[in-house]
Amino acid sequence: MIDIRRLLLLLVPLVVTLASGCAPLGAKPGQITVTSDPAGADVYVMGGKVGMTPLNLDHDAVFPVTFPSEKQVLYGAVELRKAGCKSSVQRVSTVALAKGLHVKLECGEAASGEMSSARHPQPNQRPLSAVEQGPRPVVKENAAIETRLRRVQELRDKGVITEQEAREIRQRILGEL
Amino acid sequence: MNKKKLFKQVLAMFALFMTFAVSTETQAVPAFARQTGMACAACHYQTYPAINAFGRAFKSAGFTLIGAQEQVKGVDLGLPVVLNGSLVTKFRYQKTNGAATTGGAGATNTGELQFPDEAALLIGGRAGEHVGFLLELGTFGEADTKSGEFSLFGSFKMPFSYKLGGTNLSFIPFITDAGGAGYGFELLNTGAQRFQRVGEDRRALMAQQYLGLGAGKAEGFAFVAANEMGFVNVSLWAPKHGSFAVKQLAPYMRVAWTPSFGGWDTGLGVQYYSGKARERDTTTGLNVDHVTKGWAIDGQLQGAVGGMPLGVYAAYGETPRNTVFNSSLTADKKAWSIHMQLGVLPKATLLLGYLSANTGAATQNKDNALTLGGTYLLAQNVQLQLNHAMFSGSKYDAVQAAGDQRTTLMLFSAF
Repeated sequence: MIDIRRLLLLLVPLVVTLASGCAPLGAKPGQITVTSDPAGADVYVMGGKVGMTPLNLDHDAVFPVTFPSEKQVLYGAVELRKAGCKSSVQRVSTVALAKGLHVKLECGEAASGEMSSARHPQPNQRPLSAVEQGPRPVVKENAAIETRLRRVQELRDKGVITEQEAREIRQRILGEL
Repeated sequence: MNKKKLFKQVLAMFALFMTFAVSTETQAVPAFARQTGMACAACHYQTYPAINAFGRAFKSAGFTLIGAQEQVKGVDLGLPVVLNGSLVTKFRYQKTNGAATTGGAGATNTGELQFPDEAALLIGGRAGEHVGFLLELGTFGEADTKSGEFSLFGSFKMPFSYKLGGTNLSFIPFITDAGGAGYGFELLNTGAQRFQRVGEDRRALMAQQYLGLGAGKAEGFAFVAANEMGFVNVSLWAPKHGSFAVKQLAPYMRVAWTPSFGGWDTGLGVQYYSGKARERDTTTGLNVDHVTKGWAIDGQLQGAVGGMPLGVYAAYGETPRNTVFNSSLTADKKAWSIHMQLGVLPKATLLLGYLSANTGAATQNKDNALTLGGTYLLAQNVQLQLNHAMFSGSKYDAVQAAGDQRTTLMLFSAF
């Protein structure tokens, strides 16, 4: 006769052993590893800065139990920002949860720091389109303001735009706050 | 067969399956995760199929939110380029401590391998900008009530959802072989609807499931208004599955409030069944009434204590005598329950529940259940669950065929 106690005594340790050795969850359960190339990018989740790459994020930070409805567009996403690089928004997928987020930032001359890559998805990126039907909340726009202002100053310094134009653009950006 | 040999073979098969299950990369994930490009944890709370606030938002929008997937787009057309599906399986071992050696109790008293207890192909997601769907293709099928032929169309619903301000307004035709009237639309994890719950041994954990208020055959139409603060579901339905000659549908009303308080995601709701569904028996030409009376109140708290995620779920319900939920001619059935799930480790939870019920029988009608259990997440989409229910009360003064204890070990996977 199959004894349930005997079965459980044998199966549970077996399963736990197998799982802990092979399970495709991250090396640190409950956390998501975030790295970037180059390193040292600011990491934002749910509209707030949580550190710089490389770092381990708690699941709860990316998938909070409660959040204001206007922040739903940020739910489940990690944004990386670094001066001189395009900001990058990544959805935390099952693969990311298992292997971590590894983001190669587009930096240098080619990079346009003004635009979030969420609006111009790269081939290896997942845009924020899971909630694309919803209005873009103010908090999302605020997230890129510093970068955009810096970009305006760069354009002014290079003489691409006049001081008058720079002032108008700054006012327009700040008007979004 | 030699029992020792059988035991070894079962153990070997299980170990082989587990090795396969946990050693493969979890690239393949269920239908909605494929569509949204998000992890299972984005929508589920602690363990699936329980959902969190974002899961509620996804469901309220009629499964139409889409992520990385390419779409076929055109005039009045916007659907993923692939049909998203997933295979859901439950492999169970169940053991009861009764003395019966025949029938269903005889099987579980011996120790029953339920391979599979459930196996279904779930296909679902966005069918258009305002249209979603979810189809459960069962393995064994359900007998059509009209033709008697088996159908693989186990459960199906097709939300038509439009956003007005911050509120999703939906019309949802639905049919289910086991999900009850709430299958059309439900957002709480309390047991108000069979397919959306925390623990496996549902009748020992949840008052509505004990009373049958959130389970059984059902088909009809749900009219829903939902936003982040709650939802209202008014459905017209019949306890049927498949084609039948309908004369009248019964109303089902569900209202729930889902506010957040200090980091706690909460829910408080009421289910109310009234009236009757009437069909015509086309063999006799006579009308047949299905009286659907009953009600339940339920609540849930989802948050964290000491850094550990905690979900608490409670319900109370009653079903009057002589209805589709309570065949007793003498007394109403009543039940209350509370259960909680605590995430003690990132991949492990503990489950504790208590249910107290009146069976509706004239005597020996007290039926209580204390459940201890837990889950272990072998992978993001593979869950091992163990429950042990201990029953007490005057019902057990008489010897029960299945005894007074039930243990369930389950491997729940969704690929």
